[in-house]
Amino acid sequence: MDIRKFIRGCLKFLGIFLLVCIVSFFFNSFLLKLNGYKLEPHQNILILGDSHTEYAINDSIWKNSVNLSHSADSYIYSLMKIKRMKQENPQIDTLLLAFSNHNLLTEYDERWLLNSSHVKSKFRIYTDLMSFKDFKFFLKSKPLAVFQGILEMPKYSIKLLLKGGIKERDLGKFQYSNRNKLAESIERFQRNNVQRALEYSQVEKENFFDIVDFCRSNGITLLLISTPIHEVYLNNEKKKKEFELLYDFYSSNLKDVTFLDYSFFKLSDSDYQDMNHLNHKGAKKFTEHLIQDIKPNKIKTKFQN
Amino acid sequence: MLFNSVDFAIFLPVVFLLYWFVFHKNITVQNVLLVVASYFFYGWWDPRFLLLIVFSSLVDYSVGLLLSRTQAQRARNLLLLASLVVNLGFLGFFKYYNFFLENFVEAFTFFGRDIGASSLNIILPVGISFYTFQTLSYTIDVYNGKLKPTKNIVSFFAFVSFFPQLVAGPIERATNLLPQFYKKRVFVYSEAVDGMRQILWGLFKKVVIADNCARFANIIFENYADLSGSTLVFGAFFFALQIYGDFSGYSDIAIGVSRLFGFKLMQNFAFPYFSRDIAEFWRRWHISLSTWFRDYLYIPIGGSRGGIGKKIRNVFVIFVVSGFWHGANWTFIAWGFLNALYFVPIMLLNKNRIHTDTVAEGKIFSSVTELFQILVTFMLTLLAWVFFRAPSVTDAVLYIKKTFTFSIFSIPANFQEWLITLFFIAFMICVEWFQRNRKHALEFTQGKLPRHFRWSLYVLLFFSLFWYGGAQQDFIYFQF
Repeated sequence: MDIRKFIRGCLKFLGIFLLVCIVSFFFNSFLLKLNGYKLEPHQNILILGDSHTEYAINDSIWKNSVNLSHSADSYIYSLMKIKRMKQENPQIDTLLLAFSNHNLLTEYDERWLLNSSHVKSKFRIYTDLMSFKDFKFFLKSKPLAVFQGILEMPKYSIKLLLKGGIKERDLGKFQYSNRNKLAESIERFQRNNVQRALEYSQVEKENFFDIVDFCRSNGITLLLISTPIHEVYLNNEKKKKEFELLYDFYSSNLKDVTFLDYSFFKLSDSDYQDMNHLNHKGAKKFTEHLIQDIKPNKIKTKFQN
Repeated sequence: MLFNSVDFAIFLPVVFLLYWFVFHKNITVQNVLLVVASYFFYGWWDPRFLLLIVFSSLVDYSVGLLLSRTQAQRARNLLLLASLVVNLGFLGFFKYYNFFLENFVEAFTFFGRDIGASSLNIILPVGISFYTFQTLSYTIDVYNGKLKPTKNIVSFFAFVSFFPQLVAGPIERATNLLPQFYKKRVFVYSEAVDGMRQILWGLFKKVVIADNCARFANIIFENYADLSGSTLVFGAFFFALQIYGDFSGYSDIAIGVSRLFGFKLMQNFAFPYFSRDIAEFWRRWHISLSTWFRDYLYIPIGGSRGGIGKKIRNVFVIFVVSGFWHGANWTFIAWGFLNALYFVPIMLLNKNRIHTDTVAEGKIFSSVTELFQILVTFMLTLLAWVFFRAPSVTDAVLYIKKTFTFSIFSIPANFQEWLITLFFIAFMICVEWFQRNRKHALEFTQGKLPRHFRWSLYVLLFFSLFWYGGAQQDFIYFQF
């Protein structure tokens, strides 16, 4: 009898624990929903992607744009975001999507898309955006990380409440950086640079094409963008091969999509925080230039070929 | 298998259910289950290590039986010697071979002789120091006539490999643990519930305190040359809390898990950082090892009997050997030596047993004098921990030298980053202070605290494991 009482007690404890998690899961979704995803009516350009666009495009000086890029965001998250943002903001007519040598490589499946700590932290932020299919995908690929993500929800809900609801920071935003660690990053790059497998991830390719299709069917102009990269990186033979692969992929699959390739955009060393990311000075220069380029009719003449 | 892993979270309920619901009718079958479960638990790291533990168990089981049949003193001595050679031989080879070899090579090189010996790539079997000492206690007790040798091989194998305490103690005496395998275990609700509380507190100390402190301590010890004195003080402080949270946390989990299976293990930590002098600290820190050395080394070599010289020698022997037990590095020997230096004056003044009670017994707060004594004792242990943690004795000395500079008065640069961890440390200290008379910090008298309060505390502690747990680290004592 005692042992049954003990087991009942343990189950009760686990029950309370799970109940808190479940309530938090829904409460979390509710809080995320409550704050909504509404943009200002004049904001018609959405910027999505990973840390490259997160640090490079300063939307505070580009009034009709919103940068919701987030470090280590794979295309699966960009797809979730564009779907919901378009649904809530019909005025969105342009999507700038990060597209560079690393985005589709298989290596990034493990480092980004299926990295446990990323799955765990992003799960609680993007719960409300996830479809059943997305949820199933993560649950199947990283069940433990999903479980840990759910466990962390009560803490996140409390944070949300204290902050008075979700801020754009949670979904992603332009990151103001005043770091300049270019020299260290070059030194590290030259020491550790290895040739990554020149293969593209099936999952990420599917998500990427889903974004392309979504834009096509919803009248959104999709602009792929590669932000400025330091010349040491670009002149490296291994990286050149990755870019060749990217250009091949683009020319054989995406002829009707504009690719704003700013990889070779000239900036001084003091504009970089590291080889792949701009600091606030670089971001200001680059964004000002980008605003001019995005003006109607200019894109075609400048980039189409 | 780590206690703070998903593997163990699955393993434990499965074994528990099999133990109480499937194999509960027969003690032998229950013991067989414990042996199988323990070997599975241990083999999870590396199944090759199982050979060692099986061999060691077989040797000591056989020696025990042979001792019971042999009356001739010479033969008995030889049997004891055989057990010592096998057990300490394994330990010496796996743990100390490279250390001695490297030091011999260095010594010869120092005197101008170059001997071409190269160290071996030896993997240290997890917890070898713990189970070796446990089996040795059996043989020595049988040899001394304190214990009847067992004929029950299953019980003996279960005693050596009992999974809750196999890899990091408490180092149980055969006189306490072995007889528990002979008797039918009865499930006692209050014991199991308190065991669960003890597991929860152990996990909190390991996951929230130790793993977070480890992050900061590692960074500070790796970069001590570039950091301020005040940061280095915090480095030593974080390590002191890391090793306490890690090891006492493990012991709490081990004792708690054993209670779920109807076993009682000895208390291994009794809130040592509330000690008023170093002698009290050593009565409260890693009790199972301290008492092991006391009974099987200190007393046999004379203990506190004899002249002053002999007393001092014996203290240094026990502390230096205890330091060396922790690892094959001069830093551990220096740590033991320093503790002996702390201990000797107290012993010579005959004040090593003045604090045998709990500090401020029956009161909420201690007196100012007691607080001062606690702080001084803690500072002394901090100094010693620097030797324990530093990669070499030279690094430890430089670390201490760098600490006592004017920068000790500056505010540490990363103070903000430490705040949450410091908050949890303060919480742990408060809970342990108010519970210092108990066996563990979450031991509550029935009905003293409202049920809702207790349950809320448990749920919050449980959530804190997931919310504030540091990156999973191995238990420090696994390497010993």
